[in-house]
Amino acid sequence: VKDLPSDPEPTDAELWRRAVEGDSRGFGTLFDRHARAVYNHCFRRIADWSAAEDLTSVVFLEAWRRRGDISRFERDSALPWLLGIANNVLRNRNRSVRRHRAALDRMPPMPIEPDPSDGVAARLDDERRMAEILELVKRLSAADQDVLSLCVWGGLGCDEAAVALGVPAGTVRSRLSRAKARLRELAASHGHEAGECHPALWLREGEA
Amino acid sequence: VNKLPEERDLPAANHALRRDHLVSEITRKPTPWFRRPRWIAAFAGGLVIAGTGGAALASNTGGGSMPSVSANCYAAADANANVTTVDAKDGDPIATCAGEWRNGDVKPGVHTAPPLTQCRLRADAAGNPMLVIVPGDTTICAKIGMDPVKPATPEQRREETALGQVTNELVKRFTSRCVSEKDGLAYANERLAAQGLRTWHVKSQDFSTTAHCTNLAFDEPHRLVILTGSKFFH
Repeated sequence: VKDLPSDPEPTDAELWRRAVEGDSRGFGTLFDRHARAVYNHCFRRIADWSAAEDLTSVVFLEAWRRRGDISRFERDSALPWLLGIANNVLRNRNRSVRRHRAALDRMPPMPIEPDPSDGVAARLDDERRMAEILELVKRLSAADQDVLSLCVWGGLGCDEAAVALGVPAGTVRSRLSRAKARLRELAASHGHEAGECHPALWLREGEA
Repeated sequence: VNKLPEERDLPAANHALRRDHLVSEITRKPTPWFRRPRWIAAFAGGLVIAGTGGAALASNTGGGSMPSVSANCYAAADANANVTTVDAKDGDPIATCAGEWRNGDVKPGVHTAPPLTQCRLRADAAGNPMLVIVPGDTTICAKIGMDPVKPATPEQRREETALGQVTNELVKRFTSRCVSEKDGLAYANERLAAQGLRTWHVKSQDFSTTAHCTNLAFDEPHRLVILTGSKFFH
């Protein structure tokens, strides 16, 4: 038997191909790679860490259900596609959870980990802060919220966001521009200096 | 508030558990596609409604919530096909399923609904009706070993909704306390009448000095609500 060279760092596309062909470990590795990004993306849209955790599982279950949709990944990364699915899951949250209810019911109970009180407090503080930010952001159209969350908070480039949203990159740029302009207006009317935007809204912009 | 919350990792133990769960789900054998509709499963271990004959007995387990009638839409007449469970309690399950097709939620990339047919499995081990909605005309049911189900008439749908409401009320009453045979009969008759279910009747059986609490059962073919005596209400 000829030894095959090991593949220490297979691409997402390779892992996905292996998973679809029956190597479930590939799907597990994709989860390891992208669960954090999906988890944080979900949190930023709903301001609830616990619900975001469940939705992370739903996003991956939904990705598997839609495995026939994807033929190639943008820049070999599954993340834009996963975040696009996450947006759909978040938009149709009840229906998405209902669709995967049977699978979720088969999940063993989560272990109860000792959580220091400051950890609990920090999470609650996160949720409070995020809810305040969302109060402003939710005044944008749903499409503009999607672009903002992907490009500004999620750090995707316009091309990647275009994959996630299934629209041309030019549309992403125009939506992003419109979202920023609208947020400047909203921020100004909410006590921030005129023309300045809420700092939290642009935190990750430089990384995009 | 001046800062987006820092990113966090999933709690380590939860990450591992969710990862393992996902891996097991994608390698799981396909769900038997002739599974019970959820409105029956909602009373798992309890209420069973017979579909093809014989009385099916039930204990009073299950919650007090309204049964959720659901339909299982298959992307193809194939047990391995994608399945989408839809809530269909407020309308025609085929129409609801067609809506899911048009949304692209049944078969990825497809946004039109093909002709759909509802089929019923002739019998399962427990004698329960098994309903699925699959693409194809009425001949498809025979090809997959099932019987076609005629679309419900508006009157049948109204009756189904009313019966679900009565079921909900009876389960709630009979699981909250020990209800005597006399009171159980009075209450069941009163609720059937209130919902206009004139073709349904109530009978009691197996009550004794020790089996004096009302439990609930249905005989759908004979349109009977059966109250059975039991030591326990649960």
